[in-house]
Amino acid sequence: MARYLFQRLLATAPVMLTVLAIVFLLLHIGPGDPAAAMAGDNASPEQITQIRQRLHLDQPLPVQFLIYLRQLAQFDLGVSVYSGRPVATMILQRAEPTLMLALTTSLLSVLLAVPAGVFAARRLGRATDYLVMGLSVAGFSVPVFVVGYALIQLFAIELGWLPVQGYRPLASGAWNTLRSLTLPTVALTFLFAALVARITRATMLNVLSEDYIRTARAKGVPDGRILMVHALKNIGVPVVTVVGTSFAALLGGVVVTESVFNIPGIGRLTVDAILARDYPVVQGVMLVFAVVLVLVNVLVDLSYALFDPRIRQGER
Amino acid sequence: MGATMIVRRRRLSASSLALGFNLAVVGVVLGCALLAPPLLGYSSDLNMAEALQPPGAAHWFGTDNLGRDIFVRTVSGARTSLLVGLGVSALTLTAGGAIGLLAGYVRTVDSVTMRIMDGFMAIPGVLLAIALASLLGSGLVTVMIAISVPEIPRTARLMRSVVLSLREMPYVDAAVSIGSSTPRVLFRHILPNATEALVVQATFICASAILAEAVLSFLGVGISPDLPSWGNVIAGGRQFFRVAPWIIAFPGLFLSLLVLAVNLLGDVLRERIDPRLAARRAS
Repeated sequence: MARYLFQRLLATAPVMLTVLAIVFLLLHIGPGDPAAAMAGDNASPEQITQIRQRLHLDQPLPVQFLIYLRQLAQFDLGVSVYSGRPVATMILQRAEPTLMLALTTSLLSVLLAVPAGVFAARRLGRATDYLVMGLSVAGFSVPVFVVGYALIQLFAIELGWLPVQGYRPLASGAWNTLRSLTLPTVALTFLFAALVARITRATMLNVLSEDYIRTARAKGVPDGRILMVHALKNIGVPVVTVVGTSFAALLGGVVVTESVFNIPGIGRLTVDAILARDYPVVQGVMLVFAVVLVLVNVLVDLSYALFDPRIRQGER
Repeated sequence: MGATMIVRRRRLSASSLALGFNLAVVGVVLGCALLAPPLLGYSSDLNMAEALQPPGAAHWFGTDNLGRDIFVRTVSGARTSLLVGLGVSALTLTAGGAIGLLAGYVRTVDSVTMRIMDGFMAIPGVLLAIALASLLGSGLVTVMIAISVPEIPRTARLMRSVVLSLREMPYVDAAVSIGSSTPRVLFRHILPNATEALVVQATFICASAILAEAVLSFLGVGISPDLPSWGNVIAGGRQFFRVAPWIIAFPGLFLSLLVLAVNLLGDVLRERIDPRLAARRAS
């Protein structure tokens, strides 16, 4: 298992290197001088020079990249152009709301979408199937912010059941946190559950056409038992894969949701940084998100090995 | 046998119905996009006396904080959103298609290009798009480029997988063995057979691009508000959503309907083009 983990981590090296290059080059694709852009319109030449030196923009590009790599090796994501604070600290301080939102959304989505997908597959071509699939297409067609504002309008303003915006940290009590996260979670679940339900249904359809299902059916196993025992066991791996691969969409959705609901998480930090042209922060968040995504995918691969002994023993 | 026939007929008629609905929505939006600006005049006329009017006879969808009519802005926004959808589809298909074609056919290019594509895919698309949009500026074309870049890897991947299976076809072998040049094999034999998959992909890209433009504008890095788009009309209503929810509601509704219709159209197209694929993947 440890050997397998090591192999998987090693295999992510080329992707990680590409991500590093993309994130690093990001600063240099805009027109003009990045230091001037970050300094703003009414900056003095001295300020621009200072930013240029602090970010090593006066060095040749390959040297800059090496400096960047050396910094990263020491877990240094650079400093914010505005506050001068380390980007890593800024991200860590904003991590709690984002993690909580991602967690509640993943949980709720899997709880809703997996049964819905299974059910739709079983009732293929019937009204239930169309209903689930219709809701699912709607889920990734209606933008998160439209759903978000509709929810705020209804449940926070008209009915007054839940707070309009904002986030209460866990330190203020888990109940308060949950209350403040309810609407954002529902809004984001609309998107995420749609993806999961769609792919669960497709996977289930695949599994239901397998030989062992036909065998079970032929020997007279009742329908419900086929579904619960024979089929459900085998959709574990694909469903974990979906949750893993949709994680990118989830992180993207978090950025928007945090803006709608005024949640001071990493997504909000990013949007603020982008509007302020604080690019070291933007680069830092991109890198952290990319690392998280790559690690989630490694975890997904590992879960294959847990589910499927053939992979564990090295025959693929 | 009889049962499957009935099921198939029922599914087909449902899909025809869906097709009709989707084409109607897309048609209405297209009509708005083409006819609205000359019919309604342009929407930039500010009228502070009429600011934040609720929907009514004078202003069907109400007005925003500057007294601009939301109906006019919504209808003119259709043009921008459609332009972005079509522009991004074209850009993505061209770039992603070319990369996928090369990676799938030319072995030496394959692993390096696909690793680069993987790198792009490891960064959440929204994040990459907003960063690019803020770096490139708030023009129509720059926003289209910013939205296209995160979409390209997926298209390249799809194209590559299609090419990988097509290159094993006997007619490709035949073309190679009679001495056709690589460009000829690629453009005369492989590309035409990959178009169906690309057309379906284009529909989904169009839908997600319309959505992405709205997200970018909403976050403040999209198309500048002089050119109304659904995204920037909604963004303009953010501050006022408690007193004037209609600024967000109407363009939001249109946006959702159009994206929904285009997505469903993609589903129907996929089913029509390849029933086998639809039955197998059904996703």
